[in-house]
Amino acid sequence: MAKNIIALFVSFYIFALLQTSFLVSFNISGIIPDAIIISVILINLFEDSGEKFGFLAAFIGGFFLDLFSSDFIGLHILILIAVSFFVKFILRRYVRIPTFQRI
Amino acid sequence: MKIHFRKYNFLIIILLVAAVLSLNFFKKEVKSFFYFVSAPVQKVLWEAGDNISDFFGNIFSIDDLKTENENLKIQNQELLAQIALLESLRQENETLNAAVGIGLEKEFTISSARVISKDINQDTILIDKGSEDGLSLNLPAITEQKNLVGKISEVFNHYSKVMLTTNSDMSFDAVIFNTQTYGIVKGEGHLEADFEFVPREAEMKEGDLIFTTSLGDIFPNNLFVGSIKEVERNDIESFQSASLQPAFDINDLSNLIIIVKF
Repeated sequence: MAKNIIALFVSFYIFALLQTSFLVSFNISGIIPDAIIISVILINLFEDSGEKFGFLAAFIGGFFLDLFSSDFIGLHILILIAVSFFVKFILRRYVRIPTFQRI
Repeated sequence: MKIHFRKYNFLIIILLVAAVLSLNFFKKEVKSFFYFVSAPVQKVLWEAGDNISDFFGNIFSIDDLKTENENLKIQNQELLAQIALLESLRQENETLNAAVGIGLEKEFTISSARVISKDINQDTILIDKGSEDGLSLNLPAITEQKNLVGKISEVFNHYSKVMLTTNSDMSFDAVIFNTQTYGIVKGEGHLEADFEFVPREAEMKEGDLIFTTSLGDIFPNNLFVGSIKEVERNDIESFQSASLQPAFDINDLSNLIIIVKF
């Protein structure tokens, strides 16, 4: 679990750095993809509803988005946790999505 | 056992929420620390991204560059003619000022800064100067060519956030250069801005140049804001508006000048 947390921390920090420096030069009409939000949605889409890892990803991803924005710390955390809830308990209930299974 | 486990989880959640909310009391210090750690990496990444996008941009836009080059040559000749006219007006103005005894134009006190990172989604950029370097809130930021970029919206010890003129919270008075028609520049987000509240009967066309005025005391006079892209006129409304092409290019912003006193 500790390894997963460290991996999330490092990955999202790198995504935040890329979004605010490298990817800026590749904007299309002033829009660049938000890698952190996309990652959080994908993590929640492909894990079981009972798993908690997606919420952890939402917390850490939201923290880094807050750090590099002008808003108060906690806003993006709240938003991403709400998105995780939506994906896990509403989208997954009504939309059939294949999940990876251990061999 | 299950209840104990749930209570344990609930406690962790409460502690996490409290920790996150308490961080807001030290928001500046926390953000300042992360900017300090990230700044060297972001500078390298930004330069790498800029070089790579320039390389591919040049390959894919040769035709556009040729057309743009021809248009710029024509525009350059028109501007040279305007400069010649303005130079004679300037000399006349100086003579009149000397005769009447009015003071000459004020000089700015300036400070230069490097751009560390950019957030296009929020139309802000981060620079490497802060309160310890004499910067404070609402100071104007311009390029070396005196094109208006924005104003300082947040100050840390060694860093500051600059709100671009295209930020949706930005609005200020401006004037069309040729016709002296006044209006309001309003940021629309995603590097776009509009020029609004221009009287319907006023003359405004594509290519008109917009400059700041000292009305509202937000920016000094005569900083270049941008040019009109497309005019939107409606017979019913009392005002007309236009979309603006900002004077700065987000991809070319590497150094800024902060006007500390005007």
